[in-house]
Amino acid sequence: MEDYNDKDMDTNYNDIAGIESYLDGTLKGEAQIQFQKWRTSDPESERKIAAQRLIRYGMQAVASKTYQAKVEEWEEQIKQEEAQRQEEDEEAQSVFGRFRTLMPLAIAATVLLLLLIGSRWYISQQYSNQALALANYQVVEADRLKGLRGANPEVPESNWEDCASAVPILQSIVASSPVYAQSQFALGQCLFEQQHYTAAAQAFETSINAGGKSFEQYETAYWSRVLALLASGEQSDKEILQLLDGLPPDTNQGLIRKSDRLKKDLSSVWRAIAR
Amino acid sequence: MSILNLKEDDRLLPQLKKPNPRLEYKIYRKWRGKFRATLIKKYHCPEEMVEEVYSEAFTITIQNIQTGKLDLPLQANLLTYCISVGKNILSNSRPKKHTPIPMDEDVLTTLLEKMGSEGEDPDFEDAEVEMLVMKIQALLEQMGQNCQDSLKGKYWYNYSHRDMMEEFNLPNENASRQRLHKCLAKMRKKLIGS
Repeated sequence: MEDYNDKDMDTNYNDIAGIESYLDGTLKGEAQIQFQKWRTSDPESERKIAAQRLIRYGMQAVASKTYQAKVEEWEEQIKQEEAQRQEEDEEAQSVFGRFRTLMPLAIAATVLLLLLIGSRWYISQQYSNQALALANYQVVEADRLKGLRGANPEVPESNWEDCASAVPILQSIVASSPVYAQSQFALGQCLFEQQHYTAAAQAFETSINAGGKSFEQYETAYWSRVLALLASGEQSDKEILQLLDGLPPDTNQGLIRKSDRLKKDLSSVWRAIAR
Repeated sequence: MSILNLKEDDRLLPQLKKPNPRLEYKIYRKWRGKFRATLIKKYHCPEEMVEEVYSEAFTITIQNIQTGKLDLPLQANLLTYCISVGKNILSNSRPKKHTPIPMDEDVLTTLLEKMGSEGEDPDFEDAEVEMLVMKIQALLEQMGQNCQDSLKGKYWYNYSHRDMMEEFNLPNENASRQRLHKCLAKMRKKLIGS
């Protein structure tokens, strides 16, 4: 590879310059006259001009090819970048997609679980032994305790409305007069209120035995005993149901309805869940 | 066509007159999406062809700017011009796969005859252009670096002798002219023997 040296210069040099000016459209004046003279005198002139045009054309075609090859490299580069970006997008999309699909399921499962736990808790609260017993229990009537005092003049006047204070007094009364049904009943009620269910059941049972069916509070004492046994958890549901069946047939309608409802509750699916 | 785009292209065109690969690449990326979409949607260009058409249309657009065929004042923005070039390529598209064969004397004679000494450039066959490109490329590679610079400056980038004087650190324009003529003489001698 070498450049064209001065020693290589021949007569073509001038026609090269002339043809270039001719092809550039800049030939004029004396140069144009010289060029025309050369064109008519040199038998190779047309071929030389055509060759120089061909070189121009070819150089531009090479330029186009070279440039296009470069552009195609850009295209390839861009495509690679796009493919990589698409791959990354797809990967991100699949992670996000999985997350997006699973997220509602996870939320739904969590909500369902919370609902189940909440429902289970609620049912256990509503259908536990104590809850069922308390829902059906009748509150102690203060007047009745006051009446009790009338029958026992040794009983002090104060604190009758407060079971916590009444229990020791009632216990001292039943200790001295165990057969007094009303005292046992009042003691049972106070013990029930203080959540001493086993002791309450015992007091109610004593009051039933002491007073018999003629006892004014017989039905209530029987009912209260069943509730105390239920609340204590010492009896099975089956035993409680048997006890409920033992309510006297002439029991007042209010208690019968309560008894039926309690039986239904004890046999319900909710009760089974709560257990 | 937006006036804003036209004004932007009025500023862009002079910057593209000289080779500026970084800017050209930026423009290539910028136009690519719109070009592809237009060719596919508006001119029903098959997707597998659109990249080839775009690279060819972009090449022609840049070369027309660099050779002065496309110049100010612009009648349309440059992307629109490039798209219309692409549309023409598409409408004239024909199978292009040729196996180039070395140029022999007969082919050269045919090319010289077709080219002639005056008039418009002829419509060569694709295979003829391929052969000519191979031949010129081979001749160019046989030249020294100075000759390659000179010939590329003149015919690839449309440099003036003043541009080449500055670009190649030559003492004056005449030195650039003389170097180009020497190189052309050498190439012509290699091509036709005289």
